[in-house]
Amino acid sequence: MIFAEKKPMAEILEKLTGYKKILVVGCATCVSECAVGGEKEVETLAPLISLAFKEKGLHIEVFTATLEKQCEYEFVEEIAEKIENVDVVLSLGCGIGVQALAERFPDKPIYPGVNTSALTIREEAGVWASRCAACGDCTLADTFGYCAVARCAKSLMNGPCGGTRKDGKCELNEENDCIWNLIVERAESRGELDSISKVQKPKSWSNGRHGGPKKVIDEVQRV
Amino acid sequence: MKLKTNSNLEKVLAAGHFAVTVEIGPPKGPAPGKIIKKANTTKGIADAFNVTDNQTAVVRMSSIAASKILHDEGLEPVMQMVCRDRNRIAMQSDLLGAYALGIRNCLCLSGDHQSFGAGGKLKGHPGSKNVFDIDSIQLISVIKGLRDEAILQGGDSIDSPAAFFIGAAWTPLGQPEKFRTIRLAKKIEAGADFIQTQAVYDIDRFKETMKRAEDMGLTEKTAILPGIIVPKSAGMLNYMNSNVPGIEVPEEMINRMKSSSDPKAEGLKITVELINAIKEIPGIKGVHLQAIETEYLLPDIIKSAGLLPRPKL
Amino acid sequence: MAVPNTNWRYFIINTNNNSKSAGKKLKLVLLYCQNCVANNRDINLIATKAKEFTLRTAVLPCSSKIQAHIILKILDNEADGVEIVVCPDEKCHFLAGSIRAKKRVEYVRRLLDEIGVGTDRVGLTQEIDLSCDDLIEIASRRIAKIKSSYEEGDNL
Repeated sequence: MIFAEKKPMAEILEKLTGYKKILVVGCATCVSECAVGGEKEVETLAPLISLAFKEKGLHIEVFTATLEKQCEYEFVEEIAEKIENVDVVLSLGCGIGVQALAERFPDKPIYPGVNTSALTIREEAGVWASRCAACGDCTLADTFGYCAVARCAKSLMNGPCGGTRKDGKCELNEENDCIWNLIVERAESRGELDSISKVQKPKSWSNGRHGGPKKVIDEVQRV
Repeated sequence: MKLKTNSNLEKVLAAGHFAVTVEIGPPKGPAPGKIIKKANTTKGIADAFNVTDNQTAVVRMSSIAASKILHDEGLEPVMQMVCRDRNRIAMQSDLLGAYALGIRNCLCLSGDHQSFGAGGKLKGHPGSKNVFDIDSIQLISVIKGLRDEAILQGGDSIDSPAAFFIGAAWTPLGQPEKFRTIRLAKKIEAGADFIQTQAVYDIDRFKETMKRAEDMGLTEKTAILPGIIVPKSAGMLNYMNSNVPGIEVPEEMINRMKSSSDPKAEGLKITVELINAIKEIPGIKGVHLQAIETEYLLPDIIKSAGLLPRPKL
Repeated sequence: MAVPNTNWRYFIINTNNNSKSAGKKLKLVLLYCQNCVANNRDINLIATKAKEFTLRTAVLPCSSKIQAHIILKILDNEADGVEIVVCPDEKCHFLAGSIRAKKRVEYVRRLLDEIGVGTDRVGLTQEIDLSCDDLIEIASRRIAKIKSSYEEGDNL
C-alpha cells in the first residue's frame, strides 16, 4: 500500500503555531495500515498537539476526524461542517488525501502531517518494505517476481553491481538483501539462468513519473 | 587484427604487450594545478590513465575535464563514466564531447550510491536525486552503437562515429560468485573490449575465477587487467577485507603488514609481488594499478616490476 | 475496512484539568491490569486513601489494552500523570500484553520528550500481588516525580 512516515513534531508544531482551532484528519485506509494516520494515530496526535501548546502557555482547540478514504470526494464531504469551525487542517493522509482536502476546501490551509514515501508491503507486524516504484513498465516476469526498479538501490536491469556483500545484503543498507542476488538464486533454482544471462535493453521510463504528471481517462468508466 | 579505435591502450594490447594502466584521482576543486602535477609525476609509466568520475559520490573535477587535461599533458586517459549522475542524453552528449576533445577510452561503471558521499568529515550530497537511467552494461552497448554504427541509443544517427575503446569492471569475488563470470560474459557480449577488476590480493582465489572465465572462452574475447590497490597498512587491508564487497585479503598478508617495521615499504613490496604473480595467470593481459592520492608511488613500483619502459607504438 | 475501536473511551474522563501550577493538588490516573492485584475488595474505594493528591483508578481487562492515545488524552484533559501497572513480562497471562504495554509507554514518553513536556508524567510498574496500599505507594512515587519536574520547570 501507499506508505507514509510521521513528520517530526517540531515541524508540525511550527506549521500550526498561530492558529487557535485545529482539525486533525486521518484516513482509515493506507496510512492506517502503516500506523501513521489512522484513527488511533489521530487520537494520539490531537492531545499531543494540545499538550505541546499548553506547555508554551497557549490554549488551542484540537478537533479530530477520520475518513474512510481521504482520496474519495464522497468521504471528504463528511467533514464539510466540521471544517467550517476551524482555522487550519492537519491531514495525516497521504499526499493524495491532503490534496483532495485542499481541492474541496480551497479556503482553508491544509497541512500534511506525514511524509508519503513509498509503495510497500507489510512483511510482518511493524515492518514495511518497498516493493514497487510505479515505473509504468512492469517487467517482473523477467526478474522472477523481484522488482529491480524498486528494490535495487541503483535500479539495475543487468545486476548485480559490485556492491553485494558477502552475506548477500546490499552495501547501501545492511537491512536489505541485494535483490539481484535473490533474482540469481531463484533463476538458478528454476534452471533458468539463461534468461538473465542476456543483456536487458534500456528501460523506457516514460510511462511513469518521468513522462510527466498522469491524467488517464477511461471513457467506459466515465459515463 | 584490425583495430577498432586509435586508442593507445588498444594498440598495446593488440601488439601482445602486457599492458599497464593506472588511476589518477581528479582534484576537489577547479584548479588544474594538482592534476597537472600528477600527470607530470606519472607520465610514461602506463599505457593509459584512468580518471575517476565523482568516485564514492564525492564531487571532484569532472572526469571529462580532467581527462582532457591529462590528454593535453601527453597522457592517454581512460575516462570513467558512472550511471548515477547522468541520463542517457547527457551521457551520449558527454561522450561525443569527450571524443571531440581527444579522449579515446571509456570505462563504464554503475557508480556508488550518492549516500556514500556523506561520511567521515564530508557532508556530501546525500539528498541529491540519483539517475541510473541506464546501467553500466547498457552503457557499454550505447558506446558500441556510437562507435560501430554511428547511432544513438534512441535510434537516431550521429554525424560520424565516436570510436571509443570500451572498458568495464569485474568483481570476480562478489556475491553470488558463480554469476559474476556470467555477468562478465554479458559485458563482453554488450561490447566490453577491456576489463579492469576490483582489487586482487588473494592470488589463488583470483586464479579460480580466471579459470572459470577461461573455460567460458571470455579471456579471448576481452583483455582482463586485474586491479591492484597499493596497501599502506595492515589496518587498510583489514578494513577492505571486512568492508569492501569483492575484496578478499589473505590473513598472512595482513599479518605480514602488521609485523613489518616499515609498512609503507612492505606495501610496495607486496604490490610488486602481486604484479609478478598475476603476470603468470593465463588470460591476463595487463594490470591496473591504484595508489589512492599517492600516485607518486607508482613509477617506482612499475619500474621494480620490470614493466618500464612502456612500448611506444 | 478499519473498525474504529471505541471502547477505549471508557478510560478517559474529560475534566479539563489545567494543572501545572504550584499549590494546586495534583491528579494521577492509575490504570492497572486486573491480574496485578491480589484479591482486594478495598480497591473500589482506593481513591479515599490518597491524601496529598487526587487519584482515579481503572482496571484494564488486559495490559495489551493500553494505547498511546488513552494516556495522552488523560494527560491533556484530566490529570497531571498516568501510571500503568502490569505484570512482569514472564507472568503476563496474555503472553505479550506486558511487552506491548511497555513499548507503548516508552513510545508515549518519547513523544512527550519530543514536544518538550518531559517524560516524568507517565510511568510503568511491573509487579504482581499488589495490595491497595502498594498501589497508593506506587501512585505517590509517581506524583513525587511529577511534582519535582514541575518545580524544575518553574525554576527555569
